[in-house]
Amino acid sequence: MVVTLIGIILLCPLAAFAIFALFGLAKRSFPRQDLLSTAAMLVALVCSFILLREVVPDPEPHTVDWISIGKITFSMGFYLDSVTVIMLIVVTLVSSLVHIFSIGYMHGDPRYPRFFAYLSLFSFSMLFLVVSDNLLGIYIGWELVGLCSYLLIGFWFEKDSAANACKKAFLTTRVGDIGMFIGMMMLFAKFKTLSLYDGSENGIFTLVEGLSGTGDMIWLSIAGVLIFCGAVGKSAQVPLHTWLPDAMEGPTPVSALIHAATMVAAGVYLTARMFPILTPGSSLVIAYVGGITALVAATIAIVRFDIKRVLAYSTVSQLGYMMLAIGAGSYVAGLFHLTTHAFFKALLFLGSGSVIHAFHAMHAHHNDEHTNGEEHEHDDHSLVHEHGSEIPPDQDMRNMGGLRRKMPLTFITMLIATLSISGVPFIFSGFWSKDAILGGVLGRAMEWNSVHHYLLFGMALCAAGITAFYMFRLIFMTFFGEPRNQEMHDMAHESLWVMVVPLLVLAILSLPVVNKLWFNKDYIIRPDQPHVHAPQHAYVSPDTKTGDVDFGIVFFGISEAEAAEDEGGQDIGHADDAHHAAHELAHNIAMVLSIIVAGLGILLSWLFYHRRRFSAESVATKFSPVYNLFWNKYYFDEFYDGVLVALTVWKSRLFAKFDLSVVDGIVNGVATIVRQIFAAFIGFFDNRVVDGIVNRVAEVTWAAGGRIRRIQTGAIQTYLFVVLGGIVLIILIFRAL
Amino acid sequence: MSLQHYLVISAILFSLGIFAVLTRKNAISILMGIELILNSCNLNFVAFSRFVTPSENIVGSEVFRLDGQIIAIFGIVLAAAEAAVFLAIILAIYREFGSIRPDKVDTLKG
Amino acid sequence: MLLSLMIFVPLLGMIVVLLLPRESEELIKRVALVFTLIPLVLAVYLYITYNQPDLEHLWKQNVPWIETFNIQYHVGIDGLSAILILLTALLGPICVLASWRNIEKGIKAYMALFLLLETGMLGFFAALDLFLFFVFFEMTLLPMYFLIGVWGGPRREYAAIKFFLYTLFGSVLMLVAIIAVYLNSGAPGDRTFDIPTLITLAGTAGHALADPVFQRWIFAGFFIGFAVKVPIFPFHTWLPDAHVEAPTAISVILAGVLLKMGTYGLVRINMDMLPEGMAYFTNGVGFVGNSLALLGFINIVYGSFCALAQTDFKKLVAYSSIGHMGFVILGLAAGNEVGVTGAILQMFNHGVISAMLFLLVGVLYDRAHHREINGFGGLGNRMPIYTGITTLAFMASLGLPGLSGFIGEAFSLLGAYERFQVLTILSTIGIVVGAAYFLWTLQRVFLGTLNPKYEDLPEINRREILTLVPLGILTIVLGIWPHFAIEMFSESVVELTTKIMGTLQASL
Repeated sequence: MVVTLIGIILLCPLAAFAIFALFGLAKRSFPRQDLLSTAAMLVALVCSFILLREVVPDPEPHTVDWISIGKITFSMGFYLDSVTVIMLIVVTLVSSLVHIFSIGYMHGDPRYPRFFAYLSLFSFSMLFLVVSDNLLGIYIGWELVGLCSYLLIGFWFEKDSAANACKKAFLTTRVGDIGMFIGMMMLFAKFKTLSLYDGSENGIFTLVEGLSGTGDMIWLSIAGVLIFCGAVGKSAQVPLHTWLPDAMEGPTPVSALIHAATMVAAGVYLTARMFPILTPGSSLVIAYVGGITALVAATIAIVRFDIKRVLAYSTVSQLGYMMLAIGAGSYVAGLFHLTTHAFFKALLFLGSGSVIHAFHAMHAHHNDEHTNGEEHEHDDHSLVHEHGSEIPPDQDMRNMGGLRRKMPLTFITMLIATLSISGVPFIFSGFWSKDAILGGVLGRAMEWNSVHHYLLFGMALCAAGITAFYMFRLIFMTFFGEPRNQEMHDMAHESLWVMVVPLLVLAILSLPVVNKLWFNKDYIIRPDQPHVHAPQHAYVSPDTKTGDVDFGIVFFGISEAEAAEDEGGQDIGHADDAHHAAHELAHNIAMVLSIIVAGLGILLSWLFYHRRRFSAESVATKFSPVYNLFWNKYYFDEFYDGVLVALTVWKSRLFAKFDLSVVDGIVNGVATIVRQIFAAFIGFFDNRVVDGIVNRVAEVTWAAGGRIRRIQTGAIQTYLFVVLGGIVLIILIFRAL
Repeated sequence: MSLQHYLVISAILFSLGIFAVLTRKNAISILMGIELILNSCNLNFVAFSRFVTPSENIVGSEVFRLDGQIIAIFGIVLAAAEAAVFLAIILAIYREFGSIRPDKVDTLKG
Repeated sequence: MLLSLMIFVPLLGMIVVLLLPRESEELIKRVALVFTLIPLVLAVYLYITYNQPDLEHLWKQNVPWIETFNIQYHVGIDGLSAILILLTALLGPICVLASWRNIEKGIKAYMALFLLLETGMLGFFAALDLFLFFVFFEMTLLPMYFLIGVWGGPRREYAAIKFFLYTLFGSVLMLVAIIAVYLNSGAPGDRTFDIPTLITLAGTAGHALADPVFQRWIFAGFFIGFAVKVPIFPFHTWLPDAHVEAPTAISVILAGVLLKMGTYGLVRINMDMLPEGMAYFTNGVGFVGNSLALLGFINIVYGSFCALAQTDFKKLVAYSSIGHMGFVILGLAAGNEVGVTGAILQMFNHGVISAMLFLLVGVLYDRAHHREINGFGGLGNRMPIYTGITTLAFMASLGLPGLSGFIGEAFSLLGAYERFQVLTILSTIGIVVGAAYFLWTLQRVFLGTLNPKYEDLPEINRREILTLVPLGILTIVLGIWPHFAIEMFSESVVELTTKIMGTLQASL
């Protein structure tokens, strides 16, 4: 049953893509690729919901032997636990909605069928990644989603910026993937398997429990961090985050699906999957990367004017939150935020897509390109590309304003999403998930008495405030105030129903009541982390120090009452008042603080961008060094292009030159030496000595021949005379004998 | 008549033939010299056959073997054929060089 | 019997082609196609039956050849040679099809030489007698020389001579090693060239062939011979020149099969026959003990970086071949099951993928008459099918999971990591750089706005698609279910690696 359903879920989108590819080889295209792909996704969605009921605790993976060589077997298979199902539903749900939205958004594009085929391929890859029970399978899905991301970012590949962005995305994530692959090699070398769960033989999670000792712990920490490198790339964490904002060159539905809701969350999913192998060391690295990302990206987002870039940096920032949560041990909070974020961020992107679409600019811009073609320098393609490219006018928030009357549904849905992401209390899902993370981090900080976690909590709190600020800045600039560009404003209109319906569905999903469907306390079980123990100095009761305490699931964030209830429920078995109390306290403090910072952020934003009490420009001039830092995105791109990429290209040129001049030079040199010196000597010898002898012989023969030929008179009678003489001579000789 | 007589005649014919071949300036004469040489040989064959080859005794009567004579007949036939070829060559030479004097035909001179 | 038939059918084809009149070009091409299809059919039959004991006799033959020196005509297959024979037989008809239109002069001589080449390659992979092995090795050399030297590009003579001399240099060392092995194989009269016998003798304690010092020297001799062919840095510079000058189909054979002859030799002779020598060069102790893995690492990184700097499409693919063959060396150096399996898979997959890449370069070259990467741009719009297939080939080559290139690379690395941690980690740089040069090429050729010069460039035609589709399908199928290939040679690999690892442990 489970295998069949998962099979259907995977095969439907794959078949949709395969049909496209086969038709393509025959130089045709399937008549209604859009409906085909959408239908495939809807079937997968239904199957995912059916699977919701099939989850059992501690499931067995369903595997087949993929490759077996001697004693070593690589298996491929499905693993279905609650996390898998939640991911399945998130992916299929958002994907279905994006498919429907795209029917309207992409209408009229010359490569319209191809877009849907790519979406199908992406959905397949992402679902495959999610259901895989082993690292190799996850890695396969991982790279395939990377490919789809590459294809879709570069969907409008005539634009140089898109062509650059897709390449950058693929390469940057590949750097992270290499880390992940090295981590896999380490695990494989140690455990001789890449399966995570116990099937016919023990999986990594069981084997890892057997490790002990400092050496093993250091080894395991390194392996954990390396695996996490893959997530850093895919989830756009600092320092590999630079590709995600550039990825906004892709069509907006793609940004919603891949670069906000699903693929980028795969990194979080992976980190969550690998939760049991994390050690305190690797957890702290993850938490710090997440915390720094959350803060850095949020600050960059403040100063962006491109509506999609703001959302992109906001995505990076929120992904940082999730990483922080998992690094701090708040497994459930991280996954909860992943889910809520998927919905409200997809909503934000689709909403922005609706706005962009409303400006007709997508078509205008696109057609423009097909008819005129930009001025294009062909030799300008280089591995180093420019940044700070012009913001397309249809995405520039400085051209917007006052759209709330023109596009009421888009406005309301986007407002719901914004309230959610900003953490406005109680009725919006984002509040609960964000609060769960903040509470989790603070809880661990208090419990372990750890400076690191206090610091991380501070970072997260700052980021929360900044998030509220820039998200409302976006809303105020776009939907409130007076239209800044009257001409474009006049063209704007509410979008087609195919585009509005997904917005409404996502808006409903951003309300917490819906999330309750799966986020109840029995659903997600936080796996054990055998090697994470509270440090010695921690403020905990004695039995925590022994190390076999599971902190349990702390927050579900459905409602305050439920959260409290959950805690009680989860902590049965290792009831420990001290840490229970710490977490409850932390939860309350975090909630209050997060409401305060969110409120502050919104208030400031209101003052700056709606009431115009303060001028953003004057603040920018006053703090110009800081502003420049934010505006230039902390100079990451400059550093990469100017140093890393340039270095690579330089090195490759050097190698090529070395190859041509030194290695090949030696070969040719040897050839020349052989030819010029050795051969010259041999030639001399040959000419003068060997050939000399030959020539002398020839000359002598020639001269002799010249003399002897006189005999040859040509007169036949002379010959006969000689013959006769010869005969006489012979007779005489014989006589003499 | 003993064998010697035949051999002497044959030797005279042979010498005359050689003399003709070596000294004549006309190709026809040379041909005739060659014929003399050939016929001297034929004479020798017949003579030796008659005087040297032992007779065989077949069914009581003495029978002479005729090997030499037969070879002589072959020789005559060959001489006839050779003369024909020779004359043909002479004709061709005449057409080419306008002469049948062998000392004029020295294309093979080295 | 069938094996010998397969080897010599192309030779028969050569004779038939030579008997045909020069003017009937279509007929010559068709005859050549038929005579390359027959080995393919037989190879498919081989794939079906290679492991059925009752049909084993079909796939081996052993008759005396030159009895004075105990030389035999001994051919046979195991999983490794079977998979490479399959590859050779597959590429044969594809190359004939790829030469259909773009060989302008002397199609008769071209096809005759090509058929001779195929006999040489098939025979090489099947030979089980060292002398025969060497004869077939050399038999590929001469046709290749003429095929590059006559039908090549502007610098064809230079490239052909370089290729010829380089390979000859290697094979001379190999010949010396072969003679040394022969002379040490027993008392006069008992000496043998028979590879299975020699392998047994080399494993017999106390035998002259089992002497570790002797094995090291012989290993080096064979290794240099094969290293030229692979090619391993620093013996690689013939490769870019030969590829750039060779006509498309010959590049395909060169990259697809000829390079594999080197690595096949490494497995068949250096690893199987000389485990002591192998252990000495891969025991991980000091410089010498790491040398084989180091060469693999250098090939990967060096080849990839060189490829990144190329602007000639074909040269880029040629350097990428050097990089990819590095994974084979690294996997073989590991000597364990996973590594060797990865290496052999990589051999096969690189044969398929690089064949695709060279065919694709050829398609573009036939249309635009140049290969300068920067001179194109925006072809994605003009030639969508071509772009799609190229993307597939590029992705397979850069090791995208789900396509066959990944499995070989990943397993080579997984296996090598157990033995050579640092070198393997450094080798992964090659994967990133590999992605970089392929994506950059993809961008420069296909993305961006269409270069107005190529507004009328015709889309890839049916015949060209026909040559690419089987390879593309193989790439996808083996990426999803590599077991199809692995099951062929897994037994041989287990046997081989058990021996290697045993020797290695004994030597440490």
